[in-house]
Amino acid sequence: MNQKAVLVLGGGIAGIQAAIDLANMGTKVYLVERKPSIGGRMAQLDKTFPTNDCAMCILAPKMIECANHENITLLTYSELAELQGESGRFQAKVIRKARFVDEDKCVGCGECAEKCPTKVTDDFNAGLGQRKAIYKYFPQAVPSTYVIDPDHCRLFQGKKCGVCEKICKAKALDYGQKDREIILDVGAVIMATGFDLYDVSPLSEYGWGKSKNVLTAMQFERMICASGPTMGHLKRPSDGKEPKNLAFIQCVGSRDVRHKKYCSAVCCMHATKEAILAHEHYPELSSSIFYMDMRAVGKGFQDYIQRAKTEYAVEYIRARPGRITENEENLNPIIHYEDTNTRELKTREFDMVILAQALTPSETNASVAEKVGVSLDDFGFVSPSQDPLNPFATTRKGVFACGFCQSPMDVPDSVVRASAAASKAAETLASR
Amino acid sequence: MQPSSETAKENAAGDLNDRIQELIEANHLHLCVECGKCSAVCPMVNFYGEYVPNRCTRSVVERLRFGTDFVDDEALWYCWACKECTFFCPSGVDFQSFMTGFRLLLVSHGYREQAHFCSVCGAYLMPKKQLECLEATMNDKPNKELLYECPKCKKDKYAAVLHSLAASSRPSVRP
Amino acid sequence: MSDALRVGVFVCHCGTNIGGIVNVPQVVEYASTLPCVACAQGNLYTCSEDGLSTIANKIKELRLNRVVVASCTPRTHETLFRKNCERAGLNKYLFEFVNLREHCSWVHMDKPDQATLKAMDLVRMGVAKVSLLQGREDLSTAVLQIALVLGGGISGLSAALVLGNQGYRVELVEKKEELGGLLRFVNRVFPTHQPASELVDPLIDSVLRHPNIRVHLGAELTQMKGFVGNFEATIKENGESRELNAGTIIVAVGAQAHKPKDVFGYGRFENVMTQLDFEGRCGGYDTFDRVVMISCVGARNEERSYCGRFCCIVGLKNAILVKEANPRAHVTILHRDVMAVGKLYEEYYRRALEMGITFVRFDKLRPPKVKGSGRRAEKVQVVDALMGREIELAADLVLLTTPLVPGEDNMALSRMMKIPLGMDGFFLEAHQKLRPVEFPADGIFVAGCARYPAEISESIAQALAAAAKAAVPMARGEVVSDAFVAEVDPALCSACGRCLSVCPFGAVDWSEVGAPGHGKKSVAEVNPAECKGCGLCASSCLSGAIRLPGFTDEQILAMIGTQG
Repeated sequence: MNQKAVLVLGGGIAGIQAAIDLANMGTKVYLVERKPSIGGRMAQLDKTFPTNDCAMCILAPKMIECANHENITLLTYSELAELQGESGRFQAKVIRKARFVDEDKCVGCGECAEKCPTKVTDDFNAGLGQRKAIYKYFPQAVPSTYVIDPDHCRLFQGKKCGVCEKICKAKALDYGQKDREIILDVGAVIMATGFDLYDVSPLSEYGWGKSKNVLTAMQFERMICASGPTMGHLKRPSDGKEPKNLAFIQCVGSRDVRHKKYCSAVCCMHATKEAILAHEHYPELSSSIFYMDMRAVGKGFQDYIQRAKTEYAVEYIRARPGRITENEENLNPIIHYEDTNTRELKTREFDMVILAQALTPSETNASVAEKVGVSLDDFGFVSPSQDPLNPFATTRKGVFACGFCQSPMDVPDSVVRASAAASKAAETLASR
Repeated sequence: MQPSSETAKENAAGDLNDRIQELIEANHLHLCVECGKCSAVCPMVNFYGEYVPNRCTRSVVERLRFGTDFVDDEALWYCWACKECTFFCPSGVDFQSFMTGFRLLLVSHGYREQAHFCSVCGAYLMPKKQLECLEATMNDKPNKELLYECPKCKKDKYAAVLHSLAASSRPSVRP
Repeated sequence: MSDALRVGVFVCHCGTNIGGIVNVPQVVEYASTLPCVACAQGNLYTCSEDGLSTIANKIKELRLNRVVVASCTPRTHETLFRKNCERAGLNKYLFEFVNLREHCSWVHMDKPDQATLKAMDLVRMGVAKVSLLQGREDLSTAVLQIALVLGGGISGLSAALVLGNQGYRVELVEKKEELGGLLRFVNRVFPTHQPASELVDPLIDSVLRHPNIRVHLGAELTQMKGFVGNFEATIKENGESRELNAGTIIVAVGAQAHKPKDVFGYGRFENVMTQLDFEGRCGGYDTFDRVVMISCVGARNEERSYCGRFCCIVGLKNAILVKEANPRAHVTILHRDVMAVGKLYEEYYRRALEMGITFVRFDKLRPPKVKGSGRRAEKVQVVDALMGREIELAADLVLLTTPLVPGEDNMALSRMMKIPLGMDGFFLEAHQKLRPVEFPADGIFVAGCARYPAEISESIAQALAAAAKAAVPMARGEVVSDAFVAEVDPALCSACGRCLSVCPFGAVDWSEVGAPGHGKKSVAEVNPAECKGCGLCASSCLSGAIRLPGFTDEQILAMIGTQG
């Protein structure tokens, strides 16, 4: 029925879902992702609430479905440069960044990364581990093609190297590769640019970056993930010991006029999930969650909280801690707080503290929005639709938005909204 | 006609309540979401042994929501206006400014027992609690005297000294 | 090409999920010694692009004609691996899945050595079975380009309109005499405060005038037959029975408002009402000076464990409307948590705080008390959790904030349409995260409050999402279903009817066949388009007349037979 194509910006779970739905309707889809692989933030998660499904296990099949779908063209490591035309007749210019590795030749064997001499802090593991200057974004990456990070590669930094080219049996290295420009004709655009993590170092009272045993939730998520830097073992960064008790501090940067005024929507639940997982890994371990309002509003969420309390040794303390100091002997973080239920001022020592950092629109959202011609709100989210019957509309006709770039939301909401945006895009194509 | 003393008292109390409400709004106390961060960062908690939690920052906010019948509570004079609570408040409550204004309001409405005044001009200087504490911790006599005069009077005094010096010997001003 | 069996066995580490417990290299080595195994190897993640291309390459290179993957669960990955075989030119039904994760490593975490032995057993059984599999072709069914939408609230209307606009025909069935659903009783909507009618009336108008949409009012579903592509629904419209055919169905039957019983003076005092009762008055926001709201009435308790998701926001909305109409009014919200999740809600919560609306938290174990005399509530006593002491609030209006509860017809619909209900009485989706608007049965979808309380924009989102899913088979014009479906041998069937009663999908029916010398006889027949291959009929058949390809007696006996 639809001859026209749709451009989807962002290859996280929302973008993937929108692409698959449209492709299944018979629409041609271009899925643009700026990172070397699709998968987005969900790929970094260990498990997902409230069913504790392994995130990668339910995401990987979708990623692969995308890659293998005859109607979907994956454009990873690519960015939108401009969008011209109007609803039904857009022309998009997309830059395919140079990987310096030929996507058609690379088999993803990993020999190059093994021999590469340069170690780089690994963003995917939230800075906890290291990768090489030639790397695969994560083990299950789609496509599985390696990519050279020219900011760190010895060769690109003017030093002598070239080890990867020598070692590659597939002859996939291409140091001379240049950024390429491609032009796409599309009828509609879906923005699904997702979220980034708020930098919590300005919240100096919580000591992140100074106290070794204070982690962010994403760091903890990578640590407890079997494919993470510690293979799923909890280890205190200060001494490598297994923690016996954990504290989770909620609203770190969220619901805070000094930082982000909004509620990040998923932290109450992911803290509960992480506490449950930690207890599953180590049955003697207990957790305390410091919260303001326990916003467990989704289907099955209240039961999940109940189970955390009764089966997984999770304690909920209604308090916003004032500061975290450090026990100088064992480097245990010490939390100073007022329990607002009992009105007692307390200090309590924990083995490890996990901060539920605020989530913000993707750092590139502003530049993407500018190129797409869509206005953003004060926080950098896509401005709420003016049409209450079409919550996916943006300020540009024919451009729709879904997922976290609209407002903080969890996986089920993102998936629903992605399918919904696909419906609106299909409607736009059908109406012409 | 002169209003009866009863009515005057009532009016005064009513005025105090209204002025407190104004202060509450001006300093956004109504935005408090009762998270407890202010109490947790308040250094006075460690300072005063008897400064029990239900008298601290957040407690003042919560008690004010349902009336102002505790204005003669000694604990209202414990705060040293260090501004930690205001700095850290995630909801934008300026408790420090509120407290400063609140004290002036109390003094002007006759609640003077807990306050310490300038020995020269009689202006409000600091809470008595704070004075006692400073007296105990500052051993140096000349410095100690500074605790009894307000900044304006101190300035006036030094100005007077300078003037007298200037009058006695006029130094030549170099170009 | 020779017909000799050449089996490829691929054992997955699944990161450390399997590899951390089971000794994968040992299992691989063992697999390579099994009969007919042409190659055996391990992968870190068999489902990765990498793992899949390895399998495809091996199929081509070694001319494998059977493939075994020993990894996670067929529930999530079977389709993927089968497709991968197909891509490499191997019939996808010549593939066997061995579950080493759920069936082995996860349940034997503490006994790695024995887990490895069990993994070897499981792989051997898989190899024994795959040798007996036969190649098959998928089944295809035509799909009518008509959608049946049950429910004419905001969800049903939105779904109908977007499908109508995409060119599909829509049959919209509403039980009441009017479209609009629960929104008809709502006065103003969050966060714009525009009248609900301004929102819903134009939508109703577009639906009623749409050339592709046919609306059935005062109509109830009485019977449902058929399957994806061709559902046959019987509805009773104005007392008359009528048949509707549809390729897909969207269940958007909504929910109902909770009416509290004997709590907080509801029913006893005339000025105690629910938020919805209050909205039904359509105005009068300026006639109250002291309003007290009580949240979580009938929610997050023993009777009903869930949170109503947006009740807090309804409370905030009415509090703000009262305060806007009468700035001198004292509005106090008694709550257990303010569920202002996300961006818009939190902004709205702050707006309420800025307007001077007071929030008092209470403990579930110490609920507020509403006191009054005669028919009037006069005050509310509550233990302020923060202060730890009881306060008393004068009240000329007490509003109870209640959640939505499942629709009264849910149970009947669930039975009639064979779609599941959750413990809470709402319809249960196929997968909470990745298939939130789908049912396990193909071609039937769910949206809005039928699934779980959802506010307007969420209901619209789910409706459009369900419409997207419904559009897929209609756009393609066909559905392709799995070839592993039950088959009846009419010669053996004794017509006892057991299979008809056990089939959960209604896929078995009677059919007339010619019997030599006896004229005609009735035997069971399986409709392959409806059969999900669950095997209940085959295992219940006393005559051994039903077999399920992929799980035949020979295959299963072969698996057991290899046991040492």
